[in-house]
Amino acid sequence: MLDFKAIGEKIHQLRTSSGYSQDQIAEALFVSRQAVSRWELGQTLPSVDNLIELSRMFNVSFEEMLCLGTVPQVDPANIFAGHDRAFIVKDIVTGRLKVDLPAVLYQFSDAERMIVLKAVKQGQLEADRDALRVKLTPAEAEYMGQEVRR
Amino acid sequence: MKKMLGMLPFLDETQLDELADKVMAAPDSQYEGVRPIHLAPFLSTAKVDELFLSEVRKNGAYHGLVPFVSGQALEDMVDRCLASGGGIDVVSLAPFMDDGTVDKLFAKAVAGEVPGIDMIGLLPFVSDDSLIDEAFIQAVRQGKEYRKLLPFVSNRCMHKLAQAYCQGQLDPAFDIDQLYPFMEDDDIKMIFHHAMGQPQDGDHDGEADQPPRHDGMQEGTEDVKNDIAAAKKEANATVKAVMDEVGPVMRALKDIFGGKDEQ
Repeated sequence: MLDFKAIGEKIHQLRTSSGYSQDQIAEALFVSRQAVSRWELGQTLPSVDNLIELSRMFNVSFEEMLCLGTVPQVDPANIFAGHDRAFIVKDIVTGRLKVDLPAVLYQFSDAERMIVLKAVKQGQLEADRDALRVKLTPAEAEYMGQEVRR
Repeated sequence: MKKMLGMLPFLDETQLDELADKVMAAPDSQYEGVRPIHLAPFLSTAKVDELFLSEVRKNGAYHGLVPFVSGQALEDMVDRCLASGGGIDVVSLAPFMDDGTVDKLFAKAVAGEVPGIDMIGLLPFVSDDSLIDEAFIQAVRQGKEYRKLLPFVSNRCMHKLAQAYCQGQLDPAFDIDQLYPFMEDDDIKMIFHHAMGQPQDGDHDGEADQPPRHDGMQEGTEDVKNDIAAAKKEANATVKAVMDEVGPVMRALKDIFGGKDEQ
């Protein structure tokens, strides 16, 4: 349950407060400056070894670097911004990440929509079904409606 | 044409069945402007099934009929797909299939028996988590793309993977960096402690689990010994039950990593 965006912000904050440039971090870890930039933007995560090295450079624990134990924060206007899509979908389905599903449903791909709808149908994920119903395609509505008819 | 369509609600069952027969007999599945999708809401489920399978045989417009057909007809279609080695788009029908049918199709797809099937498209509808875990393990073992499977892989499987990694049972080239973001906090901690060369406390599957301490009692007494023995026995039974449950996953992991029995 890692929050890519929060980890990126943490790396950025620790780097700037320690007075390092992205180039210096990149040189120390034998990675490209672009890789460091992607970490800070929350697009990717450092490897295990690089993250341990970063925690040593910044003198913090890896738990703090990884923001373990915190709930991921997402922007309702773009829930996937700065996050791995599969990670977000999984956290929504498992109920760890709370979102207003009818309001954000349009942001999912067709396959992702069916994943979250299945979770709703099985009672694994709570959602306002009335609000959700009007956002569904005919096939999705049929899928959700089968449960009622049976 | 419009006249026939407009009459559909007023036809009796026999007339509707006759019309359905004529539609099925037509090479283009059309009779006086009436198509299968027009008839479906008025037919019995048995007749819709017949119409559906007729359209499947013709490779016609069977998708529109899916909401009206029985689970048995869908299962027949899956069997037909399996027998023919693919060639029929059954993935789009997955939301309407019962769990057992989807699981059967997925298991065959994982086994490579129906190469034309989009396994990823079936994932959201697979009810048996162990099937997905096995598919994931197989993809890891064969070096195939497994990223799309990750959201569906059970935490239990990921935990076993983390354990196998920390116990050195994985190929040294195994890329844990791609997987750790999808693991539970405890498993992430275990991996990082392992990477840092620190002692781990993340393995809760074996003898490391101890019964709770009886702080209020003097250790060494017979009562405490008996309590500990009973708790150990209970813990062992629990561990055995858990291991029985995760047996298939463990066996698959052992197949990959060739590790020793963890018990």
